[in-house]
Amino acid sequence: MNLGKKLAEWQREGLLDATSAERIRVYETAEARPVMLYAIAGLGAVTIGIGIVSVVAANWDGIGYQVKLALDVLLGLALGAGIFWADVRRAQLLREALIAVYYAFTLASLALLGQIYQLDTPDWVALVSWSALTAPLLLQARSWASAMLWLAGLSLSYYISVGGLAELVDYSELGDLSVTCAAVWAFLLLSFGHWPWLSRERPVVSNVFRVAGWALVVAEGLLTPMWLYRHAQEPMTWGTWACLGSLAALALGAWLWLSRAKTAARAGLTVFLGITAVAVVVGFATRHDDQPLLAASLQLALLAALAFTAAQLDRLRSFRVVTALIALRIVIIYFEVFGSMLNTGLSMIGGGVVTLLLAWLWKRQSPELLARLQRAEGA
Amino acid sequence: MMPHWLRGRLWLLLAVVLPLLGVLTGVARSELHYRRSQEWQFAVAGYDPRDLLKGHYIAYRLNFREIPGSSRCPDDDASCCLCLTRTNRDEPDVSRLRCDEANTCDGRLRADTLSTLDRYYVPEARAHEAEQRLRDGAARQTARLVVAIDPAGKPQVKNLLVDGQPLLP
Repeated sequence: MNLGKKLAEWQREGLLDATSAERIRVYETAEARPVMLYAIAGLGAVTIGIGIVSVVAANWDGIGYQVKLALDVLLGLALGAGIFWADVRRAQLLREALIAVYYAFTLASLALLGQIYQLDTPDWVALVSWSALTAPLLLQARSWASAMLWLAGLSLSYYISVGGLAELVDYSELGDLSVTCAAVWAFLLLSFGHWPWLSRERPVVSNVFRVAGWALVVAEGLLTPMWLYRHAQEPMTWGTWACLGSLAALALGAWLWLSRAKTAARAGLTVFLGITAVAVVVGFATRHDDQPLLAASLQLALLAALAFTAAQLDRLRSFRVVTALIALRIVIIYFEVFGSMLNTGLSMIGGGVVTLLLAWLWKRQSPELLARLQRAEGA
Repeated sequence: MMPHWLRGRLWLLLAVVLPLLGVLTGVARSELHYRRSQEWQFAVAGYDPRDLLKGHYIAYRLNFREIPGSSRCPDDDASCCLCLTRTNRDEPDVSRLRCDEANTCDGRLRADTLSTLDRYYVPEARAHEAEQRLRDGAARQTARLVVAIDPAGKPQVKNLLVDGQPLLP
């Protein structure tokens, strides 16, 4: 939205006087986050980090290993001193950029160590060491760009580490394992994102982890019914129980993490996770053929639970996006069950009715939500 | 007396120092391993003579001078060790014994660590040169892997020699 244009328009329409418009303009300018600036600085920092990794990987020919290690330590000291200097001078942007570079530099240093001493350390050990060594550093970061970089690094470490498990389990249990791993990771991200100290001292970082955690929960829930699109004949295994356990932990977490939200919102999330659990049991632990209609029904139920939760949380935009997704999913069903004339006709009638209901619900809920939001803002 | 720039920044100091400390600990651990270890050389043969290079490392296999009929345990047994006996050649004689029986050998190498010795990391820019030199050296039987083995039998690759010179001088 172009604020200047809107303010001018509201003044023309007599909704706003010139003094108020100016006050809004001053307030918005002061509050605006320099997103582009952070993005460009972040890009620069990441580019430098990747450059360092490349230089190390290319392994400077002709330089003795002691010199390489000495240069590496000197560079680390310079980066550390730079972070300190930027902190003392309150140069936030530089501080964040240097933290990002130091983060990548640490990984490059560990890789250099491995090359020089011919260490046959497994990838996951190196990545977990990197994450552990740099955790206090990234806890000092305050920007969303650093938080995103940290999230990417941690996710990489996590998935490489648990990837080794894939070699230990039976092929038929890979589905259970992937759902469990995603649920456990979402649980860890959300636990971290809702850590009171992080929420208080690093609200931007906390928000990045929360959003990522909930996004993973939603993605996992919506994708799990896809397992119904295949033939399966497995019994209930430890993998299925692990899936259900991790989903139960997420449901319990939702009640704790969202303690300030309405009970209905938490109930909505619990229902969402419950439907995901049903998809897990049906998808992994029952004998079934390709079940497109059941998969689509579960996805619609998941989306409905999500829309309900968004409405209860007063998230108007999320509510609109999810209801649009429901309509889209219904349209896709037409193609999935396209078969005899009777089937297709009945599906289209049913789908049309649901879509109309949806439009009605949307029309009815949106103004209510808006009114609720306005009341909340006014209070 | 704490300097003014450090006041309220002890956590930041820890955060900045910890990664470097981790790297330095890695260096110290490897150097300490070298100091506590004996060096041994083993003959190297190409694992697949047509394709030694695997990304950033060269894969090969070690050709031990095994004393015939001396093997008493398999490699995958965690208590199995290679008993190393110095000879007047540059490579030791090798027999397989239980680790507690290998205390009297000149050196012992834990058999379950052998899989960590089958690759040598090379600089990307000179990887093909390294591969060619090793292939030639292996064909002439002059390629040797130098391994530092500590008293517990834990190995760490130190160098790869061809004709007595480092693979990439």
